[in-house]
Amino acid sequence: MQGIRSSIGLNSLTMSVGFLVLIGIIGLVSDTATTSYLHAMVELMILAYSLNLFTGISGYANFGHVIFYGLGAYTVSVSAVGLNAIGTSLPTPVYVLGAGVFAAVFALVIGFPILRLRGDYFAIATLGINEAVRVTICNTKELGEGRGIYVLGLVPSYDIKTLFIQLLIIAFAVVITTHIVLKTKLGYGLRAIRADEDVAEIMGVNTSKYKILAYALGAFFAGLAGGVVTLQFACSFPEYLLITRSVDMFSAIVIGGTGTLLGPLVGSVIFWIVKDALLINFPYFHLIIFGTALILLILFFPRGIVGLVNKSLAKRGKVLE
Amino acid sequence: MAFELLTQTIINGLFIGFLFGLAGMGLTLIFGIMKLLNFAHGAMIMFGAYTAFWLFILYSMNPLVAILIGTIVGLVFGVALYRTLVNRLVRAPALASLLALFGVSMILENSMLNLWSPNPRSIPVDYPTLSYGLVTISGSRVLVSIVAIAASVLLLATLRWTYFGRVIRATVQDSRAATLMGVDVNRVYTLGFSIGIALTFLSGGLLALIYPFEPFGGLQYALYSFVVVVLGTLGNPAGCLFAGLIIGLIHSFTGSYWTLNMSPAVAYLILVLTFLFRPGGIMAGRE
Repeated sequence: MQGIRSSIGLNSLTMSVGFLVLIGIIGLVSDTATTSYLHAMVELMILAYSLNLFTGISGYANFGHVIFYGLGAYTVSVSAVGLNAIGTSLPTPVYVLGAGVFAAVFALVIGFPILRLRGDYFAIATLGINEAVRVTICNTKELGEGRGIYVLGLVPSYDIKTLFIQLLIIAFAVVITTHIVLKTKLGYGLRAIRADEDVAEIMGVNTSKYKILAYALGAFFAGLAGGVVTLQFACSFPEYLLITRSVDMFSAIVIGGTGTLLGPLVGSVIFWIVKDALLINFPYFHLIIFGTALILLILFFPRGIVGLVNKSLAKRGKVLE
Repeated sequence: MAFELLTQTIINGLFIGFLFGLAGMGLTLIFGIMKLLNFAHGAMIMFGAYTAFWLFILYSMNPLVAILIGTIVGLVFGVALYRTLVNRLVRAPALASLLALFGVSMILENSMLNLWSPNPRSIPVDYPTLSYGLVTISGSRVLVSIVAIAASVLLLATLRWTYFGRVIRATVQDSRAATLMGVDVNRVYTLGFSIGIALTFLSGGLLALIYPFEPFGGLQYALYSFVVVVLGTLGNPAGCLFAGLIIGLIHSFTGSYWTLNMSPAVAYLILVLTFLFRPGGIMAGRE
């Protein structure tokens, strides 16, 4: 560890923000097809960062993160429909912020019981709650059952570039939040939990406070992304809560490197490009190839690309922050 | 009418409950032995169903023989999977092992999709149905329950009375001490894991006799199994069977008196309540 302590830190924040600016500029000047491709990529990036905030840093396997995205989407549609019924409406940013806040409040409520669980138990509980909420939405008349809730005309319709800008703002916010979390006591506490929760607790880390804080913070950003998706399709579907999307986020942070600032960004870009290319070239086998790649990655590069880069940088006395 | 509905609901619940219990048993055995949650459980149940289906359709086997051969296929599959992947995951952090097994699940599900198309399939066999007034007992359900009970009893007896069972229980209690006593822990893991997978395949094959199945249908059965193993205390096969019956009854009562669609949500509610009020499950502290 001597090498790392005396090493020169490369600034991950500058690199992440710079990279995001680059994606933003490309997306804004190119044609609609490219913009929507990048739009979906940035959406995944936000979700990956929001998952990384709790799961990535603390090592708690949250398989139900997509619930916050779905609830965010439903918050916007339900409040738009509800307000329309009493003949009023709100400016769009309020809806999106409301989506984030609702997701965070929901995380606080379910966080108290389930954050007492560890390891596999926590994974089972998050998966179970995710499916319970999805099934309940699918069977509640007021929530549109399986058809979803349409808000066409109730919220302003935006073109893809405007939506892309909204997502970029959220992406910048989540990158900076991650940076702050990693640099403050919260981040150190979460990493201590990842290393050994019992020891962390004995050393005076307020583990339950840190866990729920990071859990709700991640939920907030996932909720924001969910709010934007309702604006994009003018509808919220129960499909937004499908677990396959949780797996996408997981793959992205594992590819990039869990618990790092640059990891979710690099991971989402690579995941999106590779998955898209596989889907086009091997439409029937792309998920089989992807599953195999995921297993190999976990077995041989558990620290992801950032970990790999750090290993080679460490020899030259440098490290990614 | 009300009485008949109640009787029918209880009968259906108990029959499906044995199957839930068996499906959970494979999961809980693996967890008990190596503290590993098989996240590919749902996909494996479906794979067991398709294996039996293929043997039944292609070689026109007796369904029970097909299911038995499917169980053996599961055993071989378990050994192969343990040797190639799972032995590297035993001491890995929970996040890594869960994700790797999720990768296995993705591979299995999409292979099934390519091999057998997304259409729901079933094993069409007609067993005689018994009826008493308005209450009917389907023969296939009785058969499935008998096989499930037999397999469960066999497993519990093996764990209780044989040398192999003692070795497994020793490993569950303290794998390091077991190693010092001359137990080959790696072999126990291999056998335990593959028996768990074989039971999962068996429950899939039995499921195919009473319900239609599709490549991505595994998730809901996996979630029921998770509820069953948590309620019955993770790692405790006997508790699992008992919890299976409870969940089977809840499933059937939700279906009769509310709507079957809400049955998974009720089951997960019970999961969360178990975590809240009795985190060790109903069998906690009893051994």
